[in-house]
Amino acid sequence: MIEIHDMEQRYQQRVVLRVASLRVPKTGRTIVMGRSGSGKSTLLHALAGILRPTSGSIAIEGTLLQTLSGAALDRFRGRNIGIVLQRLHLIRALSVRDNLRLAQHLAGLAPDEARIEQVLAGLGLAQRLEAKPHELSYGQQQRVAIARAVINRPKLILADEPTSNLDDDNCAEAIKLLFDQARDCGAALVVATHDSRIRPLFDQELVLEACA
Amino acid sequence: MNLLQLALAYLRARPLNTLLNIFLLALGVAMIVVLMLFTRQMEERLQRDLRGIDLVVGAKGSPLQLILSSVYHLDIPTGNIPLRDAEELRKHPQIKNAIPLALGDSYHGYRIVGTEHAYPALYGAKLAQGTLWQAPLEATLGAEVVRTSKLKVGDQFTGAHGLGEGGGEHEQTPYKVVGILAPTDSVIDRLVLTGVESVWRVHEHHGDHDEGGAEGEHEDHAAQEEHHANEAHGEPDEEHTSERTEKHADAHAEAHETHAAEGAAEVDRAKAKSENTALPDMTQQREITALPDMTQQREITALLVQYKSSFAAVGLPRFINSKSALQAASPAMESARLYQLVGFGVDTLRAFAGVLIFSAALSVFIALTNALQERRYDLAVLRTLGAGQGSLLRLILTEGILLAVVGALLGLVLGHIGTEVLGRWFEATRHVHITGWTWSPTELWLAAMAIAVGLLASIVPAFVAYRTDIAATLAKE
Repeated sequence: MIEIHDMEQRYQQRVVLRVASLRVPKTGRTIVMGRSGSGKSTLLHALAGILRPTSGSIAIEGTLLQTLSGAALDRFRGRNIGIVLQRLHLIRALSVRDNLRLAQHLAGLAPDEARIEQVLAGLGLAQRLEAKPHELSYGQQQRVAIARAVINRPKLILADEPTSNLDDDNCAEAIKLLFDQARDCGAALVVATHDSRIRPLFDQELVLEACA
Repeated sequence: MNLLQLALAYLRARPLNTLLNIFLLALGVAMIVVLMLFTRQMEERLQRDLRGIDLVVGAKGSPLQLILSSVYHLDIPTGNIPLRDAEELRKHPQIKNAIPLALGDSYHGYRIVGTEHAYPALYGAKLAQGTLWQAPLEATLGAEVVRTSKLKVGDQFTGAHGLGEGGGEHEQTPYKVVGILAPTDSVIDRLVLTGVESVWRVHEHHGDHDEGGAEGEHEDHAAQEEHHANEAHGEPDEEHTSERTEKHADAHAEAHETHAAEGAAEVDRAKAKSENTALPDMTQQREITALPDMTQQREITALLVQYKSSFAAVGLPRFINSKSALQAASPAMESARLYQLVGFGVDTLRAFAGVLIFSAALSVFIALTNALQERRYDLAVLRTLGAGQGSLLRLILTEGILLAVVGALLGLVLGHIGTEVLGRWFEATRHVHITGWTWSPTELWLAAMAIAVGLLASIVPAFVAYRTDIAATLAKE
């Protein structure tokens, strides 16, 4: 369960995001919509613990993020939150396998080759384990980014604009992969997007308006 | 996949940049290693060659030249001194031991030194084969001479005029090899040792052959010194050969003119020569004091003196220098002067190597700073995956240290290989053995310094990585 209460994010005295209340059930799928500048990415960053809210609280599976120190928050993020960024940002210097190994290492988990192969097989990348990101198509890279986000079986998966710039077929496939992986992990899924094509697929919707 | 592997992967992903940084650092370290090994071995070698010699007495001229020619056998002698003066000096109460040296000829570039058995004993030389020279024209060879010439005990060879290669040969007076010395790693290894009287005899024969009369080695030296002066000016070979022949002839002619008025002395010298040849017991003598009647005309090149006590250093050199024909030079002082002269060049090269290392540090700094710009999203992603600020700091420091460690190690290896290559060239051209297959504990400090330089160069980029604002970076997507 993800819970947000009276969260406010200010930037130089200006309120850039305000969320009065949000509850995402354990395996719930929530879509966050809004125009550019409405604070979608800011909300994801706050949920990921990489941005501390100016006020209010965020709890993930009972853990209040504001109570965690910097190092503890880093560890918590590594083990409990998986993030798929809009531009993917795979580590180009590493192979697909090593990108996933690095995610395990940074979360403080022991290397688990079986898990890596299982996740990549589930995403149709079993044959591309040793490929470097630039040797893959965009669709394949996105699947690697999803694999990296779920490799540590997180409790919350965050995705920022996962379907923008994708045609309908690829959009449907990307969303399906996200849903499947979230279900397999038993994780809640929060997707920030302005892509209304995927709106009907979610259990819950949060629409953000730009703050005055 | 840990931070070390990640740092390695990042370095491998920029091969040109990485290799350039490593090479720059390695070059600086290698230069310092070469200088360190070279100067250390040269200094040790020079100190070994000075062993037991308190003072060198020779003809007036440059004291450094006297030391270089008589102790290290590198330069041409300042001239000769009368044997009579040398003998008088040997009796001085403050002198414990004095070893005469008579120079003038060489064999394949190795100097033929007329001396006494005390000379090889001074360097603790031991016979590998045969015996030390006993009779005139017997020679005992240094280990390096044998290594390159392949001469064996019982072989004969002829000396050549002058102290370098290319002089006219004394074919009338061949030497016979009677012994070979074991390697001493000192100047003795590259000398051909014989009795002083052998050197005199060779030059008497040479005088007979050329001029039909007895001619002292002084005239030979005049020609040889001119010959070497030409060598030192680096004239082209062809020109050099013809000019040398001309100058040699000129020197002889000039010497003849100078000595034309010394008819009586010439007669005495011829007499002395015939006595020397006629007296078999004298040929057994090693001591030059055994030729009292010849000391009026004979000359030697230098005397290596050992003091009876260190107090002799106070007055003896001054006493000798007050004599009109003699010069006393302190090997310790002249060597210090030599180190000072050579040291300037070494210091300049060392400073240049320091500049190279500084450039490498700067290059590492620039490379890591540029890499930070290229990888700012990577760093942010690492934070989203759970990496702490400290992990990013360690990642960049690890990259800097890896570059420095590899650069330092490569520099050490290149330095040793470079020293060995230079050493072989030095051995071939200067007959001085320098090896790269030795190490100095200072190298550990050098490696540590190089690594510290890498660490320093990466501190600022690492701190920038540490301060990365993930949210701000990702917001710029």
